[in-house]
Amino acid sequence: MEELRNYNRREVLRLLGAGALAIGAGNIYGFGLQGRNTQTKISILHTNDWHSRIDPFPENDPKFPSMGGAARRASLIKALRKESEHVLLLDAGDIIQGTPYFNYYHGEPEIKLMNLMGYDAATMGNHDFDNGMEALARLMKLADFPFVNCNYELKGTPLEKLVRKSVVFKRGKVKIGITGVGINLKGFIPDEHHAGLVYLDPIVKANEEALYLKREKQCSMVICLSHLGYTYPDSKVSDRVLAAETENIDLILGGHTHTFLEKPDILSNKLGKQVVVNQVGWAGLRLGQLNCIFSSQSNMKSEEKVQIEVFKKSIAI
Amino acid sequence: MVFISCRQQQLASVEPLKSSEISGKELTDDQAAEALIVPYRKPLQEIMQQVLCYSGSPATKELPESSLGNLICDLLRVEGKKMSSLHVDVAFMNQGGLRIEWPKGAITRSMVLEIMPFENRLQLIAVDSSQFKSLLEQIAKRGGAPISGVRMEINQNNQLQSWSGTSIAPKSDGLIYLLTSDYLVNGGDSYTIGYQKLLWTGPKVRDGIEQAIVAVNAAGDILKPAKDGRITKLQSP
Repeated sequence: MEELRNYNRREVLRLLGAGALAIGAGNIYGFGLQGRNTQTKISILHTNDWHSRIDPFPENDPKFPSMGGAARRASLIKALRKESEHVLLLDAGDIIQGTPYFNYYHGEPEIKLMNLMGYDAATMGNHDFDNGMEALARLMKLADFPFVNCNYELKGTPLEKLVRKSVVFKRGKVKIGITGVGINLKGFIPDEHHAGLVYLDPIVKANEEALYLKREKQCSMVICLSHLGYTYPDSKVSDRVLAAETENIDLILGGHTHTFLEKPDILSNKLGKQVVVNQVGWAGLRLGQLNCIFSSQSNMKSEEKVQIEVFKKSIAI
Repeated sequence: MVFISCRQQQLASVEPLKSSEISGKELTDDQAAEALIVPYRKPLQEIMQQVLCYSGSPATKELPESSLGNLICDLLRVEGKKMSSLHVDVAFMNQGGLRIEWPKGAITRSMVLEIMPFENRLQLIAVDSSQFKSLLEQIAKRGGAPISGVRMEINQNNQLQSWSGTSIAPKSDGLIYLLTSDYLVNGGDSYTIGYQKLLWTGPKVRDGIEQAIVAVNAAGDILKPAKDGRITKLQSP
């Protein structure tokens, strides 16, 4: 077992060199396809911190000229759906705040666009609370997709009945559990905008929820949408800290720190199993993609991913 | 990743990811999404595309100081005086609070809103010298921040090495008048800013920025964002 795992780590490194990334302790692509072994491929697409960036950046923007744009992203997602039988489209929070669209329309077009693109689930970032919880509740009611979070106690708040601790999706024969975690809003958001919301330890709650999804719900994979941030200079809880302290989470799709990871991190969890952490910057500039292959023998194993930059006129990888 | 049945499996082959080959050149705007956006975009365009001022060069964001941070804080320090009719010794913003960069050329109302989209208001507070030094130490610890009216040196360990005010006026109360946002005064972005008194609460920060650049334009001038060495990071101890 240990030997096999080491071998696979080398395989992963080789892949990184080849410009694609495979992650997995079992086989990667094309393994053990003899006979009865049927496979399901699920393409996980994800965004974070798009911050109301509905239009592309201006042509003369110093950093992102003509890049991004929701209509282009919708087009890309449509194209990727044609390639994959099974897709999950997810967002890790800070959907709103950042352009005049939000100041004038308070998040309505953002949510309608996410409905149109077919988002399956999202978690809340701190800026999603910028107009308060009543306003956020209105947006959640407009959404065709669920919001998930397991470390905010929401009893007695406008969000109480609108946020689920987790959701389970079935794609083919595979069940995937999705939960979410958020940062402590104190200091980020005026107190009156999160009154009654109790922040709980994201590591403890995410572990509890992931165990429930694996044990009770029989999920083959657990994804945690996180708005904790990728990493910090101190020991503050982040996606990297969470990854190391969890037992049943397979993917952490992050946000908050606007981190452009060139490739996902492959970290070890508390039990020495691999956890994948990814984050795709901000502003809808990139769409993350992780392809997960599940086999009847192994339930799940390998992945690869790409991040696709969404330009106004072109999409480069 | 999940070791449920590793023992049964053997690595056979690995293929590169095919979906990475999708070329964006074939992708255009999704028409349904565009149709959804248009009714929201149209009413905004006239207001938001209005040119308020011109900039002679791009204003970008970096540490320890940046052309963007210097520009915005310099503008706010000058405009804050006019708006409050009080002296403004120092203007300060947090690095994360400036959300986009500005290009060379036309600066539109949309760009002003996007640089500071939040509803935060300007506040002028009076701080004593130890409170001010504490703020500078916090700025040093983060490797810098947008500020105007002060020069400072940060050592390799992100500690405040030295500082001097460049426009601090002597006052009868002996305090330093610091212009910032209510968000930061109230502990936002994990800053702890102690102060003696709240002197003034003004308009939204972005409205202050807008007034300032409109004034620059009205005076027949353009913006000249630049770094000037106001915050330096010492390379040797």
